[in-house]
Amino acid sequence: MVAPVAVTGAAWSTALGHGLEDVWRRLLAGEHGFVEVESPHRLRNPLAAIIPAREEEGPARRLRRLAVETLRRAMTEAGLEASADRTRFVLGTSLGAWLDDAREREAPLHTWADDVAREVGAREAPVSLSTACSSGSDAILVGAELIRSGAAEVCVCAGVDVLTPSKRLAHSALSTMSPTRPRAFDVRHDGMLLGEGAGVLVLESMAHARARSAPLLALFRGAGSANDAASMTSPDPAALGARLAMERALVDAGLAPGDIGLINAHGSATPANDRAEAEAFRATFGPGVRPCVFATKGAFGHTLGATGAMEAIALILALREGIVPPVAGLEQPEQDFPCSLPVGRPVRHDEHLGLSLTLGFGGFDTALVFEVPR
Amino acid sequence: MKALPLVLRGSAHSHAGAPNPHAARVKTTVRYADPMAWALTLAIGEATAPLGEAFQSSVARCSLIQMGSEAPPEAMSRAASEALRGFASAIRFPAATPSAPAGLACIVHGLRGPALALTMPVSEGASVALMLSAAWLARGVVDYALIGTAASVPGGEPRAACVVLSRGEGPAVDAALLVKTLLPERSSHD
Repeated sequence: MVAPVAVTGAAWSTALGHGLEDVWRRLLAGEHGFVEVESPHRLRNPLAAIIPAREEEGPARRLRRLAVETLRRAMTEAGLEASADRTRFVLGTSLGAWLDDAREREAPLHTWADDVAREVGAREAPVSLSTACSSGSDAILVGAELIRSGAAEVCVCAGVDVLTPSKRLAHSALSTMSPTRPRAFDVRHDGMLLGEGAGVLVLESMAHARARSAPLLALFRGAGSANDAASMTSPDPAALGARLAMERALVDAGLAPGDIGLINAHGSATPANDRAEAEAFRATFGPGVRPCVFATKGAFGHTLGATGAMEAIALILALREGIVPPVAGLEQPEQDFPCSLPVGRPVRHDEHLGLSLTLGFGGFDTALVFEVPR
Repeated sequence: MKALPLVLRGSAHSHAGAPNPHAARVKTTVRYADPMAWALTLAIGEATAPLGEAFQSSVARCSLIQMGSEAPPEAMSRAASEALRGFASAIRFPAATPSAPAGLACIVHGLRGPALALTMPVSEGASVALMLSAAWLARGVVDYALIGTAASVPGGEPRAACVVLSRGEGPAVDAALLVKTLLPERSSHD
């Protein structure tokens, strides 16, 4: 077990809005952000969870704007300046705008992150990363390690991604896109729908946070990561990578499986994902432990490189508020699902420790553990 | 940067045109991978081969950090041009992601430790990769830590390099040594 890290700020940009509390209320009400979005291509489903545009802008500009706006809100909430000494930005995306913008594709991969960091006033070049749909979670994992190692006092960790024509086309071709609606862990689950968004957590060493009497949203207790080493697209049916990620996160946090009361699952609603996650939860938490599992892709869509960071925020809010939003779209849970699920309405709880699990193409599995002290 | 309790256990450079002993073995699970991804996979194989059984018995406890500011170029350009025509290949789209080389290497070599792709130049990412590897080794999450890079070569095959780190006392392993080992001469990696 290593020293916890303070979470002193958070912000998100979602298809349900931007304010932490406003979006949270809409999640609790079971709302979703899917609307019909025009496509130049024939798709399995025209729905996507988009953030209304303010102007005509290409995906590269949109990616930067979403990141900058969300980072600024998180920094404001934390009461920090981006230019402060020993503050590092850690920015992750999946495919960002690379496939849909030729200029973006020809530039170095870190160009978007450099642009964003410069625009918000960062002193140092950011750490930029990409681990497909685990990117947002891995940004948080890396930021926490930078603080634990003493390389930084504050890390502003973001996952951001945009909806683009190529992503919609590809997920339609891969049949990961639902022809109906996302229904994670439901007997009728048939895939996900894409979304876009950004999630930002401000992490800070406990000493730094205490010295400035910073607001404390939560404690980052630990992280674990592993690779499935199985497939470029499908999760390992035995879910060994996801199990290892969760086990490593628990060890890192100095916790036992029974300590975890709440899990934000990846919950992409593809049958392969749901089966793998169920197996991972069954193996990790055992027959006598039934944490409550919830998921937000039925509301936000699958926001790819942003999803891990957005889900970390949802988990922190669920721990803080003592209530879990219903899984949007879930009506008939799979009978053998090993954990409890909030179906149709929010569920109250008194848990203070939770875990967020994210899975990505290429087998990238990451688990984050947070605590909200009671 | 202060010396870390790490040992440099090996390193290798490779290119995508080198003999590939892995492709046939994984063809049922990997139908296509970008040449850049194969280059990294080959470099990892060469860097770890001298460790023999000691490494093979620990692959589930081996991390991999891929560094570099290029995405798999062939897969990405083909996926992009196909999308413009209203077509998406279910094998080239996932192979086009920046982290696909690390994903392929994990499949081929059975690596189940933490895996990451830092999308930044080796010279800027080295200290971060070293810090992460050192933390995982120090906490006992892994027994081996791999750090690799791959880059395109105009008119030639993509090239890649890999270093193998483990716990132990020895000559200091710092970011400068990591960069020098991965990039023995200035190239498009940096």
